[in-house]
Amino acid sequence: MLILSETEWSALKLSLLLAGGAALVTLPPGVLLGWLLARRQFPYKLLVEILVFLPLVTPPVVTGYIILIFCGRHGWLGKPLLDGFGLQMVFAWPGMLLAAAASGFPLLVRSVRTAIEGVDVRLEQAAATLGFPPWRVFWRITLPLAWPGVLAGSVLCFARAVGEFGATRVVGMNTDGHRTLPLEIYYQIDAPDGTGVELLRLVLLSLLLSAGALCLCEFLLRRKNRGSTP
Amino acid sequence: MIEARCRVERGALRLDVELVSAAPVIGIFGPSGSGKTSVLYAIAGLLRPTSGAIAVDGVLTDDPINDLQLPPHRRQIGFVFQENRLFPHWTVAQNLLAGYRLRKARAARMPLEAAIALLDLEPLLDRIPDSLSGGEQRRVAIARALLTSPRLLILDEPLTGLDARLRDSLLHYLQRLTQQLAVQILYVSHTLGDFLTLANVAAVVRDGTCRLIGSPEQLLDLYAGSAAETMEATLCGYVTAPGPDPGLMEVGLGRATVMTVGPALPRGTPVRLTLAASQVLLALPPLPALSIRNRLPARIVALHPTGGHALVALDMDGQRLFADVTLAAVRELALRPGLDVIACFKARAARLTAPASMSAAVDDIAQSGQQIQSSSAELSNLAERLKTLVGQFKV
Repeated sequence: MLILSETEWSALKLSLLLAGGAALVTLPPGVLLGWLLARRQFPYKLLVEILVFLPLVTPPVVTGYIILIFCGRHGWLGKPLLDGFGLQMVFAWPGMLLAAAASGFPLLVRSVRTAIEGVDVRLEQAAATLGFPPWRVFWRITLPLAWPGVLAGSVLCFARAVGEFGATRVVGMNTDGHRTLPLEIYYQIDAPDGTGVELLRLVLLSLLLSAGALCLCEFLLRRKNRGSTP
Repeated sequence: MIEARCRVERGALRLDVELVSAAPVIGIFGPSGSGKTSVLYAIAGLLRPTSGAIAVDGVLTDDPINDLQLPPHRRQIGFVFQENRLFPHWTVAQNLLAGYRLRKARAARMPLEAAIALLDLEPLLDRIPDSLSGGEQRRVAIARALLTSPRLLILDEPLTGLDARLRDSLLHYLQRLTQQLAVQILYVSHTLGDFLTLANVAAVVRDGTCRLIGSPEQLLDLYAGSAAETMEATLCGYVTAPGPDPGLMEVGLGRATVMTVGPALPRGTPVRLTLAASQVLLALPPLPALSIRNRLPARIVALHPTGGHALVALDMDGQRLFADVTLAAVRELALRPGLDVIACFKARAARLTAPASMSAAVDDIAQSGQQIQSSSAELSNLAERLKTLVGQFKV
């Protein structure tokens, strides 16, 4: 019961790799965007916000379709990548990574934004009077104080990426050994000869991963509250 | 040298600022909410003046005509905020080093050890700001700002929000600061008492302006009414002898000695007495038999009548003292500037503070005496402490 089969192992590994990769890839732009949204006013800010948070509410299949259009063999991003670097986006891991990243990104940005808004601007002012240029204020004051919230956002992004199904279904490889955990579950449900035990194992695994991520998230956010400024 | 001629606007606030002075300590006085802090923010570059110019030490920092606004981090202006604003994720030592590391090498005016010694921060260095008391946090904030070697040090109500004991001891630190540092200090307060102790020159915020009015004493003409009840004076002296009865102590203040209530302190300990104007009565010699122990010969410097009262400013061997008396008394005794009087107060009326550092230094010296042969390093350390003690003795 507890020993995973070959396909299940590869599904778990692929899911963790893709979600971990998505969390890593989204961190720098997520922090930058979260900071911009929290601290700066700029033209078309609302438009940027809508674009960033769109994947949170659009059907994932639509996200997948958009990736397919832009990154496909003849898409305006996919064609130069394929011709120039031989990098195939869709029906390969880069497309799946993109799908995972797009699904988790809004959660990360939202979390970073809240965390940075929670950092007292007055501390940043104080740092400026001590001679800190703006980038140093960000690195030494804002980011360290917002860090637990940023990390929590990254964990959320990871958890959401693990659960990505719709877009991955569209741009993924969908062959044996190249399916993510949710896709594998879907295939097992669909398969006529699927056994109940295997399915149950995958479902439990999936629940465990999500619960673990949420636990970590909660832990990080509590730590932040404890260390907050008076 | 600060030169600020500008207009500051913030919300409903409109303030015309004219502040030009080279005095070592400039005090800005004004009631709460009058916009004092906005003036400070403009000078520090945290609030943009709508018009006019600001220069510090001859360097223009704000000049809207030429579209110049030096960002705060390039102004070299130390700012001690009302809320201290210590970085909660760093220890006291890290907080102190924050600006110290960034200052320009040529501006090395304040060595790290000096700031730590000046404000007695040694025992706090490894602590986290959240674990410090309000007074301790304030001291760290002051040292942190000093260590950037600022061209101007701004203190925004440094004594507000502290209890009387902490206020007295911090006032002592601030006085030490103003005596030992070459940096110009801009200081804001809404309590007249500490203001008069620290500032050389006073500015007032009222009726939409912030202007210099001259010596802090002149503030009394403007505000004696509201201040007479709460006015306090601070006298510096040292313990000369234990009192005749337990719980009493004799404190020397220049030529005179007074009796106060306080903990037993070794002879020679420098102390400060805080004395409210309402606790002082004035008499003309010869004195009748009085139960009041403390009789200080003093000369009237100024009279500030308000309502039915007058706040009398007195000079006692160079130290300032205040008495709140009725106008009837002024008439009857013919009180006037230049008149020699005797200021009397009860032993219990004065609040005594022995700055922690001083009693600690005295203890240290007593201890060091036993181990004096142990190392030469300790000897030089002791010499250093003795030097500061001697400095503190100049009252």
